[in-house]
Amino acid sequence: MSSHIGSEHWQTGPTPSTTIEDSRCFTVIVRGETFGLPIEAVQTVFRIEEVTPVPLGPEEVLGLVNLRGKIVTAVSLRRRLRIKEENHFKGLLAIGIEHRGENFALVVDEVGDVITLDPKCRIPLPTHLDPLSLSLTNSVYKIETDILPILDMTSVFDFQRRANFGDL
Amino acid sequence: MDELLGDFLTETAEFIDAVSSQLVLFEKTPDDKAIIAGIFRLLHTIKGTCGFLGLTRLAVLTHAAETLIDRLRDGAKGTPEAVSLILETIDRVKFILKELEETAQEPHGDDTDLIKALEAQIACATIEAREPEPAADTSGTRELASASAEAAAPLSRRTETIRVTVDVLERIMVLVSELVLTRNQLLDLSRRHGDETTKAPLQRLSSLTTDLQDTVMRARMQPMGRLFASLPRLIRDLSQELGKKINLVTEGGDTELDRQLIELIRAPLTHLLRNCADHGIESLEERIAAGKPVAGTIQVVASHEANYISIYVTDDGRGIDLPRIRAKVLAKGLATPAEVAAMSDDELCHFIFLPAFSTADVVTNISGRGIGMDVVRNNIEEIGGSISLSTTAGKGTRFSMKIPLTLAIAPALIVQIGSHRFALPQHSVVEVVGIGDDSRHEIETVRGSLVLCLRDEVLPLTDLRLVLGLMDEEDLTERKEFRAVVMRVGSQTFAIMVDAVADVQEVVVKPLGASLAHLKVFSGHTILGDGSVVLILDPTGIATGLGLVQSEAYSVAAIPEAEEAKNIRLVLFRAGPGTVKAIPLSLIVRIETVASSALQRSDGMFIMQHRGQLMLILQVCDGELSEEHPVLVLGVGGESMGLLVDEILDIVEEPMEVEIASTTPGVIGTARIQNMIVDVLDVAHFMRTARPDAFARAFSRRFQVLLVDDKPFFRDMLAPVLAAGGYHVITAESGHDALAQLAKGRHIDAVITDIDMPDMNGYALAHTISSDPRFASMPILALAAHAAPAIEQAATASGMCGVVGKFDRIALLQTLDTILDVRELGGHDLEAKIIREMAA
Repeated sequence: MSSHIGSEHWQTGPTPSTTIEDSRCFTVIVRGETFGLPIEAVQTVFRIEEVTPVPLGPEEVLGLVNLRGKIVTAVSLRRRLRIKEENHFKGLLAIGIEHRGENFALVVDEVGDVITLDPKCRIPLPTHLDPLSLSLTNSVYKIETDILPILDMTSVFDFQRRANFGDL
Repeated sequence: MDELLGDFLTETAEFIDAVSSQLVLFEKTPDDKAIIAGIFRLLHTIKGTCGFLGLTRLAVLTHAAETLIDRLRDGAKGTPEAVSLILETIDRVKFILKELEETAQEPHGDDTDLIKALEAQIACATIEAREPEPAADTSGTRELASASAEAAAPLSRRTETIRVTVDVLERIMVLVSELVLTRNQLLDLSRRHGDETTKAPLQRLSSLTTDLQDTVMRARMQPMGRLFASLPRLIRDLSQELGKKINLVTEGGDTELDRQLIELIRAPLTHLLRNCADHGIESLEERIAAGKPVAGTIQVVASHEANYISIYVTDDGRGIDLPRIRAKVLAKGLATPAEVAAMSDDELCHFIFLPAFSTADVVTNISGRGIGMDVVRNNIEEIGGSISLSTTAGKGTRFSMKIPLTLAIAPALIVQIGSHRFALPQHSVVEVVGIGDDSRHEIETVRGSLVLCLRDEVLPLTDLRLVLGLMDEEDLTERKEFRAVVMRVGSQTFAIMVDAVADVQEVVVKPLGASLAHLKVFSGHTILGDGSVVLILDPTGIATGLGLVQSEAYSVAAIPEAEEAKNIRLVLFRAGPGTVKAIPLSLIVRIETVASSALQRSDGMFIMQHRGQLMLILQVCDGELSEEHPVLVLGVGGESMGLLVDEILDIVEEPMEVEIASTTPGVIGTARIQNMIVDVLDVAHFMRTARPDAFARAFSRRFQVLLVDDKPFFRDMLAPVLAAGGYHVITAESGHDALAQLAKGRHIDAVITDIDMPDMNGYALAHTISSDPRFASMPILALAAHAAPAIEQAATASGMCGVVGKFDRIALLQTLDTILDVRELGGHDLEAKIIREMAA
């Protein structure tokens, strides 16, 4: 069961330009850090009421969630980034994302805004980011004084890669 | 694609299927006018539509075939050639249709070959033709429907139908599934609130939903007959290929099954039939000898039972060779002799479903490639079905398959452990028993594992918490009461402990996403009536996890892995400066302490008098010798040599995991053993270093060679040459003498024989030796005055492995060395390989 927050106007709204150079992203916040998600990937934002844990499953997977009759796999961005765990399952904030035909709910601390990315602000991947975040990052933009890493959906939902960073 | 063409293709495909099964029937009963008429009409329809659509190539071809069938219809004899030709034509038609489907164009090509052959047959048929019987025509057509109701159903029983694409049906099915879920949720709510006003309409909604679900399911159903239609042709082709006579009996063609499932069981069913025809049914001679009917029978029976379809495939052949399976199970190390002895015949049979388990001696192109039965089992289990077999030697084999009616909706138990709920598909649940203080069923511990004593059965029992790794998060206080769910997977019955069975529900099975699909204990997930998501347990996965089902875990490929995990006993020692070194204890025959004075240096190695023989000793790490040294005596493949080391440290039993592979010769790599960094030595390297040396031959185990020559001169000349080369030589003065020596049971590693001998020449001797199974692998070398291609050919033909000139001493020794080294090193390489695999 899930309650719906926010509107979905950006879900179906036409994107005026879809080139990578001039794209928009949706920001989420985990442990005070802001990350961008490619706007095309984001389908909905909802609050998770109940999670069915998956025994023996990958540890990033919080469990399964019923999103309006559809079963989605809830993945914790905190766990994915190896950030200390939140302890409660109720009322988690999640972004509905379809990736490679599988429905995911990416659990985050807070949601931000839709931001238009100016290609001029794109900067090379900063080396001081920790390797794990770096491996999940597609590109980095400089927004005023902050840097905004745009997450790469394929890496975020590819748990097998975790093995490479098992010691981190 | 043109809509007309699309319709034509769909219809034609059905016609073609129908024709093939009729033709096989027709071959058996060439007098059956009804069948001929049926075939004629079907082909005629295809031809007519082809002309209409302007498909000329197809039209010309079908016209020729139709003319031939017309002749047959008029009373010409239906020869096997004619039938084969028509089948061939139909294959060609199928090919053209396939191209049409892909490109919407008739492929370029020429059918004159077939048309000519057909015309030739038509000519023959005309000569043989009797008076036409016009009456047969009409009556035959009329009888068509009854004679072959299954095959011709789409033609003759023209009930009102419309074509609906499968996509639409799938969509309806999904919607109905969702409706079922919503209905369940509503019912759940109504139960909780006890609202009387909504009760009656809800009941109505509930029964309507169930009806709708049934109806939609039925819309997706297709008769098994559709699958059966292709079997007669398969059996006909198989019996021709194998030179056997096989009858096919199908029953239950009207049993209906979800269309998706029909397609999914096509491949495994075909494979089963191939197996029955190839391995099951004996050759004609064997059947006659066994007093069986000449023609074998394969029976395929489908029937509807409760929530699944049973399909039996039975043959009346030789049955499965159980002793052979037993031997193979032991040979492959799949079970211990004690385990095998305790196995029932059914359990033993189950092994044929393992990957790479074929008992066929001869690999044919029909089956017996060592793949197959495991694929069949996988195919069936993937769709929630099961397969088992029973066999009686000399009487036949029966495969039993249980196939669920549909993949989409399945009844399931909702079981509970702690706060978790899981769905357990009912198809594998035998019963649920309550275990508690007042329960009659007892739980005991046998050798550390739980068993459930249920009536007179003792079943392996496990806690679902253990299976799912949920032990740590639940309180582990002894539960007083719980349920044991008894399940059956294949031929294995076992029980799992759960806290309670909360409910029985029809669940809509949805497959797990890719990120969770690797979890073998779950087959999918579903949404329950209360809206919560539950995981669906996979009984097969659980059984496999428990090691109950002989699955991939026991396959041949998995054995090295199993050994990797095992502890291995290692001798740790010091040799030279640097890292501690290790060798697997199994390769060491014994450890001796040797005084340096007993060692003689020779050619970079040491030689030592040892038990009356000379033993070669290699120093692992060059360095000054002290007074005494431990020597590890290695026994690899029957040879012994020594490794000189400085100090033996310990013998440990640890899993050996080589972490860093080495590039240094003689070292496999580096492992961490008891917190020490250890170099694991490559024993094979030292053996190889020692062996090529000419001395090694003389001082290691001697090969015994039988030298056969009728002339004393050559015997006396060659025996010392061989002896000097390090071989033990036994001589024989004739072929008969050589055979007598072999018959005495003397151990002989190779035979060297003169070709030109009176009485029995070298070829005849070689032939006699190599055709004796005891000496099949014995290398035989020919001695000739000169090596000519003709001699070499004759030598190879008679089973010899080479020819050398009598006066070519060096070639003789080299050839012999190569042959025996190859044979002997085979064993070493295996060991070297095992060690290397561990390193990898």
